Amino acid sequence: MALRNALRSAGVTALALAGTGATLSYHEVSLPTTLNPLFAATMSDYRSQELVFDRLWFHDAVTNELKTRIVEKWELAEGGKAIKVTLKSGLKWHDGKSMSAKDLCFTVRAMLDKGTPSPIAEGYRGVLEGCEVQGGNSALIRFTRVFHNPRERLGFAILPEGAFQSTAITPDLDFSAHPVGSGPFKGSRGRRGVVFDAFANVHHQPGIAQLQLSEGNDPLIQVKTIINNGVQGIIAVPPTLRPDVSASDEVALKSYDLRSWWFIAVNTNKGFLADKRVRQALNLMLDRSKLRELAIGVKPGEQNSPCEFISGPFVQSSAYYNRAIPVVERSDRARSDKLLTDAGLAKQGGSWTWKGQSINLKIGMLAPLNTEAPDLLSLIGNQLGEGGFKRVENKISEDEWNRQILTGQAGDYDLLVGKWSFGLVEDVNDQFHSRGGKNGKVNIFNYANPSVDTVLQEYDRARTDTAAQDAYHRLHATLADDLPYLFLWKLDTKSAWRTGVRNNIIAPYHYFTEIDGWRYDK
Amino acid sequence: MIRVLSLALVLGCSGDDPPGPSADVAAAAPAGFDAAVLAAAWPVRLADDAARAPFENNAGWVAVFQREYGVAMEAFAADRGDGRGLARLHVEHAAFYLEAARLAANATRHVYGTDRQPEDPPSVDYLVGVAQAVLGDCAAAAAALGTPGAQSVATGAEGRAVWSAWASAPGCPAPLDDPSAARLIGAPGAVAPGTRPVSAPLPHHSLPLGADGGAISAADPAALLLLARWHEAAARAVVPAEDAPLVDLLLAPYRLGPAVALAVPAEAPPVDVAWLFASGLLAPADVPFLAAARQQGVAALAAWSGRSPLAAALAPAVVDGKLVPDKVIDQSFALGTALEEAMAGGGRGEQGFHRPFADIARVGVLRAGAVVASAAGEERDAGILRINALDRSIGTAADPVFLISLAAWDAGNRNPLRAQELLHGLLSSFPAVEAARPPLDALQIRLARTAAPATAVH
Repeated sequence: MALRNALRSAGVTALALAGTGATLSYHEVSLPTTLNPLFAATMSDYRSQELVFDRLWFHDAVTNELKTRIVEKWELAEGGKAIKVTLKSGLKWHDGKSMSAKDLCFTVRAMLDKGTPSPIAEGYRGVLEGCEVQGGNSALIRFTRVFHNPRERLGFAILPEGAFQSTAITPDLDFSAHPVGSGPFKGSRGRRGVVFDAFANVHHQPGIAQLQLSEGNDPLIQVKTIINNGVQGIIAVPPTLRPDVSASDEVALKSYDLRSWWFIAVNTNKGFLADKRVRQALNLMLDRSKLRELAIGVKPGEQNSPCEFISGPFVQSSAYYNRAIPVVERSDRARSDKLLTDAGLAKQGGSWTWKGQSINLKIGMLAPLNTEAPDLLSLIGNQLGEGGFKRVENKISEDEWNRQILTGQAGDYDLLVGKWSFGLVEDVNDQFHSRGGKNGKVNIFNYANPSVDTVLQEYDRARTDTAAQDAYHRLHATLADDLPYLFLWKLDTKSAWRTGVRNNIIAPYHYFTEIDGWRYDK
Repeated sequence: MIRVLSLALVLGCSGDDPPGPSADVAAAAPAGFDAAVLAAAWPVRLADDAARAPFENNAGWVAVFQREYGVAMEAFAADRGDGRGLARLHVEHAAFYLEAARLAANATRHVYGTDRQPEDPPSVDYLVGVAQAVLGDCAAAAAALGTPGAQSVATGAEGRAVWSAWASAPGCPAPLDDPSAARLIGAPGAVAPGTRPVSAPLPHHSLPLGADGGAISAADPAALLLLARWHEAAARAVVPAEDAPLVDLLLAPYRLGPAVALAVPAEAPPVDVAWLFASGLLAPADVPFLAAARQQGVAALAAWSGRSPLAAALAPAVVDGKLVPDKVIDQSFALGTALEEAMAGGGRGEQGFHRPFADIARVGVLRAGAVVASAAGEERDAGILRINALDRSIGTAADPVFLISLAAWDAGNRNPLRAQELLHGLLSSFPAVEAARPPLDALQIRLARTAAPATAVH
């Protein structure tokens, strides 16, 4: 008994001592909108949630090996249509309660509950059929069909049953700001930042005691601050400032593997913009090369720049990119003017009018994008102005973007500048399928084109990879012609961390997957 | 048109140099590094204006430094000089395409092996068989090529015959002989040093999907191997006789198939600085050190740390017999700093090219660390060092052979996204590597379609 007590005491002491390291401060692109993994809407959300929750299975950030921190053992069952998962013992939630198989099944049921309006859960409804708690901390998860790689399908974060009243989880619960997770850090979102406190567990021993996230504002100030050690990290360093970071011996640029592309969405339901010729004219009015030079700092003709033009909804390195569709690098005013005239617009006093009315384009941009591409909104506005359009420009907060813009309530705007980020899965059905039911969930201006819907449905139904690739190549060609978006570019993301932050492996997409191993030598 | 640029201008020396040599010049080496070891490193040797001039004033070498390999090839073809530049360029191309072949084969093996789907036509066995042959797995190649599926690929008839014979020959795996290679799709034709052949137009094979309609457009997994062979032959055709053994030593790390233990020279062979300039191999002793490290891992450090700058940098990063990645990163920085100080020594003062030279050395240390860690079976640590080397591979420090090898490693780990980015970025310099795209694209699509659900966010 005395020995057992001594060992238990030593274990508690060991747990308490974990995370007695330093505090790291870092600038994020924006504050997370939610810490509830069911409702991640921004990359900042995903990165923050990775600190607070455990995903059932994840990929090692270095070797890509499939790993788990919480599963003790697993075996296939029911002819491969189910998997029996046994959780490790001793796992704790941040409120001190023990994790059990009940939590795993609760999470599955919450995702299957139609009362949980989560796009992430929606995806899992095509994969999971149910979950049954079995003895000995085990759960049997059932799939909708046999998968050759069942563990790879189970990348969701586990939620604590005890923190919810029911399996219908909504985004407005307090859990979104004050979550209870099992990850290496306990997070709490405030108005100006998020504090993550290390939480030692049998499966996590974080070497950092606390992480402090704040929203980075002026990127130049961010870089000066990190060089002066006012913060220790910046998630996204704009290209114009990367040479300053590289030149410092105390800060290092780090790659962050993410597929992000930028666009200007066009309100295809609004008056003259419904005419494809007008959209094509706008496309030709933009001088992307100039925009890139002024906003991103890439000179024309620069090889292997971090910012590469695109002509469709994929990055050029993607298998889905249709390389037969050329990019439009430079403006062509003559062609643009002709298209507008053919579409029935007329210039009066140097400005375009439609049906006798003056046109005043309302252009919005997701505000945090200004950090990566300073002044892009005004540069776009200036080019459209030079092309003869009066305009008014607004930056849109993330909250308004999520609540209004992405839900199809942006009818007031004519053009919206935004960005999409993807990992391995580059599914764009939600962006371009007509909105309704399970489709078009983030179709910004409720664009509707039956031929696009048809191609997207072909992609969904494709039995072979070739058919899927062909469908998306045709989608690219169709969208490049119809232009619900004016496609701009892909932009690589680079982070900066002080060299005193050691072993700071950055996971593709999820970023902080390997945070347990991070250390800070001041 | 060959652009003749002064290396000094490229490096921004003019106008940026301090007014004169620094008053306080340390004769001794910076702490932690032996003066003689540093002095043998090409950045220090070429800190001398006279030593650097042949490189600075040669369009080919300027292009090599700027990683403009097409321009370099044209320049060396027009002015071969002693042949070393051209030979080195062909050796680097050979290494590049060996790694590209590895990338394509790794991706193919995963798509139609590990991740094979019921909808895949049986004919993909041909692709798997050739991929296995490229990677030197004779039994697996023979098995895959012997299936009815593989035999159904009409465009693969010659390939199947060649590789089946190769796989069943005594002593397999052995290098492919020239007559056999000439029968394969993508065979580049007669060797012509100073040129860069292209591969056969894609697709090399169209594999019908049967009832589903459509076809898989595939590249032959051996096409890139044939380019590598061609460049190696071109290198041997122009290399000065005294440098001929270097071709084997330099290509050994990239050979496909089971590792063959090379006899490691006990002493550093004579290596002209032309083989080292702008590379992560800093001194002649680094060549045998890395050969030894591939076979012995950490144990090679003790024997070479008194002669090889890379070994000297890595030795202090060993703790309890294991190379520690964070310490390797520190040491890479330390060596770079030491080299910068040594370059500035002798009254030369700080100059604009010192930093780019040192950055190449820093990446060299990280890459060497990855070799040592990998040989010790510490693959994850090797991966960490590779990723750190990638982070430091900016501008002139971005060695395309390293970048394609990282992509090949990623493909081997079923990690297509970074590999695709790397490959895409290399296409402008090495257009023929386009042949690696189909299998890598196939890997991306296959893994994405069978991944956990995901949504796009902003």
